[in-house]
Amino acid sequence: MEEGKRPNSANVSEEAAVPAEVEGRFSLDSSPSDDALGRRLLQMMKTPAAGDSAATFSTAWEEFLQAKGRPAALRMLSRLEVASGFRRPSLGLYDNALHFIGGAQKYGCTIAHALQDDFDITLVANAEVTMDRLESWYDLDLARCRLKVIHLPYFEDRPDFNGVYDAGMVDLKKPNPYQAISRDSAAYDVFVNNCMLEMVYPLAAVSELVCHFPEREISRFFHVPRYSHIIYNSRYTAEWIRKRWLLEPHLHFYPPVDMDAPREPAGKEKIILSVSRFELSGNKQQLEMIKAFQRLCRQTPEATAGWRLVLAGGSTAENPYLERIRDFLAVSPARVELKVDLPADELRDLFGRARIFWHFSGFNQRDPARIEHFGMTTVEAMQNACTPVVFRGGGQTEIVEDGVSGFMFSTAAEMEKKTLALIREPELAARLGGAALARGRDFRRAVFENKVRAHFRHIRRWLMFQDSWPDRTEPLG
Amino acid sequence: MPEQTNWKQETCRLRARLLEDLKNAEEISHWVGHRIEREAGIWESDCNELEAEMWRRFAFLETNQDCTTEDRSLPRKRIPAAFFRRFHKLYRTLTGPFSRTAIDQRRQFNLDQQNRFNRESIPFVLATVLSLQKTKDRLNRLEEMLYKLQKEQEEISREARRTTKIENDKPNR
Repeated sequence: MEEGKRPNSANVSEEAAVPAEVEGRFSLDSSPSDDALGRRLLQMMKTPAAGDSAATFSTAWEEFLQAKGRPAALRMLSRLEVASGFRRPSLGLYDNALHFIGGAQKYGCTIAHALQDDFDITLVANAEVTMDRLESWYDLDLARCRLKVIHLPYFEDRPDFNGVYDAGMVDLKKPNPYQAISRDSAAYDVFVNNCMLEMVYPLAAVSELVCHFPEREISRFFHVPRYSHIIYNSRYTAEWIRKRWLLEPHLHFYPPVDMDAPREPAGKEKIILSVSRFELSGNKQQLEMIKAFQRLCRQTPEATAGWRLVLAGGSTAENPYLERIRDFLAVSPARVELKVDLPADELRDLFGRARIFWHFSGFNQRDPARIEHFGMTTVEAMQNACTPVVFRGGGQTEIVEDGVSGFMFSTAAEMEKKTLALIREPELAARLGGAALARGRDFRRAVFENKVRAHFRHIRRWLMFQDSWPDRTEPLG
Repeated sequence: MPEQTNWKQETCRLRARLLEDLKNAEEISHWVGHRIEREAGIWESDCNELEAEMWRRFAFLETNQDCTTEDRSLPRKRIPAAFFRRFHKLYRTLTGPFSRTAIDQRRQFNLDQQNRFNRESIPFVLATVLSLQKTKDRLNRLEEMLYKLQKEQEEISREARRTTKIENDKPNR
């Protein structure tokens, strides 16, 4: 590959500009002989012929170990054990933020929920969290999963440690602090890295990387090419995986969203709702929403009479951005309500009552990471017939069909015009809300789980020498 | 099924051996059998290293910004270099159709120059972007710190006012 095409080329010397890891992409279909040997050993174990003994087996395996190395030998053993029925296949799902509630963590836990009948699942976290808490956060039954905590002293010993095991804090000149996770991954047949942590080198027989967005560039500890498959949450994310990591992702699973509270559009109130985390960076632009709402109220007082803007979302204990919003509202009050850290049932109720849903994430932003990668809350609104008016960018364009199941905007003027249309024409809002309700069903948990099961059951069959390697480049279904 | 049990024990033993090797390996790369990480490069540089990198690359880019420049002939005594250049130009015009190879060589020379320039440009731009990013991060941290300090200051001022008020409200003894 030409050097000029690689943004990471500067990392290495001019003679070896292309990182070996990127070139050495994971590939199993290049070693069909492994499968042949595996089947022969399996045959030996199941119906031993005369002369077949543990010693014969060990010799064959030692030869394989010498020829292919330890990772391949471990993979072979894992497959033989599973195929022989000595144990169920095991799956380790790692998330460095499992102890926090979040959309990505819901994604991972739903994978665990979908697969717990097929695999022995261990959820691997870096900080204490209970299974009860995970179950209540995501409304999932994870009774057949185990939980394991691997502490990472590199982060925990820092004086500024705030509970976040952020890869951005890693000193790339020192040893990789995620080695403990890599070592642990060898204990599973399937390892799922649910937090797109590219610094974890996988050692399981099969390893899957779930990428919600490629946040960091290729660096010294970039091990993504060693994963068997890259699972992505939206086409927007896929596009950035190609641009930033120069890799072709494999499987597209939209995040599972279940916020159905079937309330008829007729029961709607004059509420414009926004549900987004109050991020320290102000990325979700709640302040912009307040200003836009105030402008609308000023310009069209008769149309907006009785309308309220409700801003709901989670927040950390100390949040300067939230303080700034409160300060702003104290100076220039408007019909704006702040609902911070709302319980799930109240949030559900709010979705059911709101008529319009605003999502500004990505508006006036240049950093691709700040544009919504998918937009779970938009789907949640749609599943409640709440008509979305969202920024035209990122994953939002894959959810909302402009003019059919909601509106999209690129400028403030366009947003105001479309919102006003919905305010002035209740029948338009009802029609779009109905279409949004139907569209929202495409992202339900059942759809997600079916796709996940189909993929991982194929892996399971491969582990048991019953199927070919799932060499996917196209989405399932 | 004693035979079955043996197989299970055997695979367990071999697996345990491999995992024990991994546990005892100082580095994962030792267990894997090859290097898994790359050398530290621009991505891993700190602010000072990035700055040094930028200036080093910039010096090259500035010197070689014109990729069509050949080594210019210096003026000889009495005969200016322009004469040689004009003569060379005339010669090439006349012999052009017969000197395709020479033109190809020259084109290749230019492309090589351009490639060298490109190879230096990419790390330069990357170092600049990373340096900016680091500065931005630092600025954000400082802003956050400033915001906290302002809040603390407000709190202290409020407390001071409250204390003063209490003191003032006390009846004179």
